Amino acid sequence: MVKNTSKVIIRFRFSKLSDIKYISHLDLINLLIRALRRAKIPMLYSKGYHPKPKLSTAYALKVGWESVGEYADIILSKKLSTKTFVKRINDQLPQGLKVLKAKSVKLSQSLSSQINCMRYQLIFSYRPELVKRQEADLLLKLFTENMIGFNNQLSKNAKYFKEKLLNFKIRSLPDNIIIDFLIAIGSQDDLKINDLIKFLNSLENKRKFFLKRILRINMFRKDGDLLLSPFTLLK
Amino acid sequence: MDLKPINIYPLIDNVIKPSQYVGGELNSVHKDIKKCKASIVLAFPDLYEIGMSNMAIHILYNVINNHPDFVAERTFAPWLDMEEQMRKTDTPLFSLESRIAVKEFDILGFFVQHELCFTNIVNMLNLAKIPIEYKDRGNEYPIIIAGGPGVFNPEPIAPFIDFFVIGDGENVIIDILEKLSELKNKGFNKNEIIKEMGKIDGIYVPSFYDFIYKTDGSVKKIIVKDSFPKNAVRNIILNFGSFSQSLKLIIPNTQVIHDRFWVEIMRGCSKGCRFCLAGFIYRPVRERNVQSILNSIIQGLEETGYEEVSLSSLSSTDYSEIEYLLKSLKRNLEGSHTAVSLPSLRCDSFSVKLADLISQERRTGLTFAPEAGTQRLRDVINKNITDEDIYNCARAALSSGWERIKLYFMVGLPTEEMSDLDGIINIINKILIIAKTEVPKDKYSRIKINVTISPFCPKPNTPFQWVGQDSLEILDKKINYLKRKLKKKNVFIKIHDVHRSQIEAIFARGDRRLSKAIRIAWKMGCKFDSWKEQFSYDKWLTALKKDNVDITFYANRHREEDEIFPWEIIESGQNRKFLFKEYKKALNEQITPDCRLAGCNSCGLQEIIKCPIS
Ligand code: SF4
Repeated sequence: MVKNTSKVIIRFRFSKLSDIKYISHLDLINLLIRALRRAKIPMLYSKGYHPKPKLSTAYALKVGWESVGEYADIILSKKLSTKTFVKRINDQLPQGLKVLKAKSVKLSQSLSSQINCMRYQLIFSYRPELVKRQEADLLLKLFTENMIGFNNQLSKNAKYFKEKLLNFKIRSLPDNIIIDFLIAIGSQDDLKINDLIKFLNSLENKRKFFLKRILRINMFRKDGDLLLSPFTLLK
Repeated sequence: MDLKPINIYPLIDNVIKPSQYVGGELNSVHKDIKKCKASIVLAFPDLYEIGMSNMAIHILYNVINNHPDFVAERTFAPWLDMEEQMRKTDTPLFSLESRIAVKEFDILGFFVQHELCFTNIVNMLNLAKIPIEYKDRGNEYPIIIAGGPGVFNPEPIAPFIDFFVIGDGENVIIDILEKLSELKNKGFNKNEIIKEMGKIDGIYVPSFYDFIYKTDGSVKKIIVKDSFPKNAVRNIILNFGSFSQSLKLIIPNTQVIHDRFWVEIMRGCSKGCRFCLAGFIYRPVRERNVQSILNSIIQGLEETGYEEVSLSSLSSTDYSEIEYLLKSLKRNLEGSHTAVSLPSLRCDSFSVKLADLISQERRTGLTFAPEAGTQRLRDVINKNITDEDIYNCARAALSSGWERIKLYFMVGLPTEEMSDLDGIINIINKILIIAKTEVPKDKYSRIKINVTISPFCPKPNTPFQWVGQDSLEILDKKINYLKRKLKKKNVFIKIHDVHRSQIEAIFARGDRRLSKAIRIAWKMGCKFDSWKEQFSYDKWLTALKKDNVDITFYANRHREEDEIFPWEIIESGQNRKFLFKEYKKALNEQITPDCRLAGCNSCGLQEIIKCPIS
């Protein structure tokens, strides 16, 4: 193989859960690079004054949010089996970060240009002291109505969600209400999602439930009715 | 004992940089406190990002946790938003590892870097729900101790601290914990334990000493109670380096100020700059074996994944095998994309050569500290470099492609005159001329000469402990003069706040009576005083006025040769006779050569230890 003409790239999916959710995106990048260095993953570095490994991630996750669907691409300087890659890197990652899957490719486009929607989960908890079991169904109804209402409102944000909120599902578990939604991404999505959260939180005026967790589930490319994962996109 | 972990999550949801409160970093240690014979929480009175950049915290944490019987956890000052959350929810200051109230530990140990963290100490005690003064603390509270360069005059915070640990902490901290667990076993109560601790070398128990003052406010007499030692003699470890072998740095998950691997290659400095506290209180110079340094770095980088290593010491270019060390490092780190940094460059062309050696890939900025603008004044402060050294240094740096040069100067040094300030201006002008000849025309616009000006603050345990600081008016006048004259293209000037420097000067040589002013200032909201945006001179002035503190007495007064100082009990190693001789020599513009090069100057250390240099 001729050097540098065919790059070896590994795309990996990882989770960011529990306490490590409090680190910023920049911290995460540094942490991944250091873990990759400790794991002795042969990485290709950029040229110039500040050589850096060529690690690129998809969309930054907000501090405090969790995820089981983060992706990153790393360019290697040598071939390495994905199995070895996953084992070595996971040995070095701190608690909460874990590589779930990796696939090696000869590259295509950047992750962020491939992705156009994400699935999130908002988990609300009841305040047990305030919510009796039988009330849960009522709350669920309230939530659903409000979500639809929010989506239909003619405010600027609502319009945005009308276009962007691809679908959502609400279910109720013994202690939680879980809202699943797929959202198309564009600029300032965190802000928009935050608006949604703020809106849902404002329902909290009733003080009967609180937002416990924001979890990014996965990211996709939506092609018509098809949802393609970043791994399928590699083909 | 309430060892139930505190649920911190509701608190940190809406604070800045929540990662600083959660711990869980690589190499942090989680022991079962109940199974340990003694526990300590290392408290750093500033933010996590500052504290984790401090070598001592890592060293002590390792030394203690490497011992099977003892446990050390960490706590830092919470930022204002976090403090608000803690107060609102009535959450006490907690440790990072177990998240239990720091009040539950046997010892709460503060690392005191400088005077401007005193209010943070008070605030942390208060957040910990521990009474601030020892006289108000019963047996149910931990023993509060303090160490670090900021306790070489411990007096302003003496009423808050049960005992101080003076000097190198690596050995004595284990002695302390051993004694503690032994005495606890024997059923001693806290006061009895503290009393026993006073017998350990280098430990100063302030409650055993009383001060009597003259009518002019200076110390008349120090009364030693019982049979306590007249002096607390600084701990000095001579097997320096043996600790560093097994040192495992905690790797923060979040960015800190010094976000790199480091190795302490040398402790102490023998240059003898007369204004420099560190230059005296860390003597003698102790070097770590070069092979052991190399091993530590190679192993450490592999274990941490850091992309940069810093060779730490007060004056790294003076490490005797520095050239060999850097060359070996370069060879060993080839291809690993690891940068090497030297934090403290001497002002000469040799240093530039070394910097060149390690900076093939990045060549941005170099920092030097000429400190004063004329040969005369540099002789006064015993900064033994010449104008030629400075110019050669600048020439070497500029011609080999460095684009930013940072220069440190002080104003308000003893005997300083306007002509000394003109000296600073001349140096900058000359460097600009050098830059014109050395730097290609198309690159000249990129050249930055950064000049940092700090007001001189006289420190205890240095030859200038007798000197008064310039008044604010004089300092302002001098600084404005420099500012005016240094308004030039390619020159960027940064000034350290004179007001903060004055507060620092007051407490640097303050006595116990000032503890009241610290408490008043804290009550008024002073904390994080070393943070520019937090420091409030107005509040400090009000606090000092409220307690009738005479600023001039503490900051600006020249002391008589035989004045008894509040820090007299602390024996830093350099005796008074030597320091005063140095002061006199300073006034006569006489230099004292480096004892490593020219032989022992009898600084006093030779009387307490077998000085490895003499
Ligand atoms: S005792 Fe002598 S050799 Fe040792 S540090 Fe002091 S002056 Fe230097």
